[in-house]
Amino acid sequence: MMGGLAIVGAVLARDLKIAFRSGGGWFYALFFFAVFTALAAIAFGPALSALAAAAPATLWLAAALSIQFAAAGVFEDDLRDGSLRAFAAEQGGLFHYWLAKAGALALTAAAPMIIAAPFFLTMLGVPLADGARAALILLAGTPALLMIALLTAALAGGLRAGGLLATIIAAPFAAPPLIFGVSAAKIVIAGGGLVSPESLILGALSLFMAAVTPAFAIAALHISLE
Amino acid sequence: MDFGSHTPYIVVAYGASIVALAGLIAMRLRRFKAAQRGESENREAGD
Amino acid sequence: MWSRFSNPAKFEGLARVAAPVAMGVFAVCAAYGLVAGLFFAPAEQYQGESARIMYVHVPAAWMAMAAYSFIALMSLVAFVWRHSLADMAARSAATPGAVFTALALFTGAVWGKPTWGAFWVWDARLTSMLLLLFVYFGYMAVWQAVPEQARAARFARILALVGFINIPIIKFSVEWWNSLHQPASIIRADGPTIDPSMLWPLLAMITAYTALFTWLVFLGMRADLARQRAEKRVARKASRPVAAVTQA
Repeated sequence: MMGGLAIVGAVLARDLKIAFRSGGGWFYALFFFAVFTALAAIAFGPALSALAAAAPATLWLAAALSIQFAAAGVFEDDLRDGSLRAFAAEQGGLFHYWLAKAGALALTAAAPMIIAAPFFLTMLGVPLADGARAALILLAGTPALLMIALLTAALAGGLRAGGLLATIIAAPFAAPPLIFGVSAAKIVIAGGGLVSPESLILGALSLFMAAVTPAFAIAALHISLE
Repeated sequence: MDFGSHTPYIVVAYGASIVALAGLIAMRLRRFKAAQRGESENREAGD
Repeated sequence: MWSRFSNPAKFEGLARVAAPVAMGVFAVCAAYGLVAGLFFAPAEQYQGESARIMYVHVPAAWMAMAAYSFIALMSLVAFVWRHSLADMAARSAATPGAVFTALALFTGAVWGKPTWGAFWVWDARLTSMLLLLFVYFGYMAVWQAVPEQARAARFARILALVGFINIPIIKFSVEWWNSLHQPASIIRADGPTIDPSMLWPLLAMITAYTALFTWLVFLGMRADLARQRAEKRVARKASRPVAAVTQA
């Protein structure tokens, strides 16, 4: 039997080690983010003024998709090799395991992207200072995106075409964070303050998702084990 | 049926509704009949 | 009340009576609603004849929401009391619900062309209806993706419930995002504001769609139950010779 925090630490350390050692993992999400932003710029055309207008939407779409794809297979290996079953048998059930997975995903997928966001935004014609503040807005909304991605990954884990299924399920959930994230980022880039009704609602969405989705995600993981 | 310039819109909206709902009913009835048939065949063959 | 009909045999008895009644209500109300809506009701003051599309649009939009609420309620019942009949009811409601949602979108678009001058505008109600259609797609996809029914049911319950929590958030967000549409005019605190000559056909069509939904759910559940009984019988038959051999 391991204590709860010990489980969180062990899973987190293992996942981070795998992500860094394999040389893939941790920068795939960032890589996707970069490629998506570049493709969007190519699709919109090189005029910086037009790109700047589309920058908040591009940023949020890139963030939502890269987190969704990064989370798609997050439970698959543990389901296949039986370690998920072992964690479920521990005291406290899968909650600690889920917490560690969320932490690993936040550190490997979300954090590099948020740090890189201001630089990508400058490529889209947004001044660096405004871009940095837009990245803070992204930080406020990322928990919501992470929770949705983890929930849908848990629901679709171990199913055929699981990644695509997870994305279909996630689409309607992703709409509210996208709406408020993009409007809050627009306000910030237009020179408005970080605290706006939009950014507050975005933060509330993150808190709400963090409060509601783990129970459902853990229930789904338990069903995958049967 | 003549509803002036709006006739085509009304015909399309009602037509699509009727076709879609009729299709839905037909699909459900077919599935129901097939399930019933499967059950009774099974009963005759066995027991 | 619940426990009474959670027994499949008793449920069959209920369905055998209720399904034809629902079908009858649907036939009568739809016949009256269609004729009255198309020919007897007057054209609307501002939108003219195109407002007749209301009689097929509003019931579809109502049923789109009602069917999903039904799925969520049944999922909750299945979640708490573990009745497989409730899972079956939720599953049977998914396809009709998705069709109603698609019809609401389609008739809304056709109504929009003469009213707004465009088939599709990203107004709050159309957009949240589109997102609701995606919620239905996800729910149906889960049932499709899991081969074993009992397991699929358990995944589907979770998705239905968490999706239901999400619907008010979607509505709120989309309304914030854009609000051009006219406010709801049937259900309001100060009573209906539309003329009785238009209200009666509309209420008839809403009743017709609700009855149709009820009938289709009963039909789908009876088909599932019949299939389940047949499968059980096959399984029993298959196990019998094996048992005989081991006894010998």
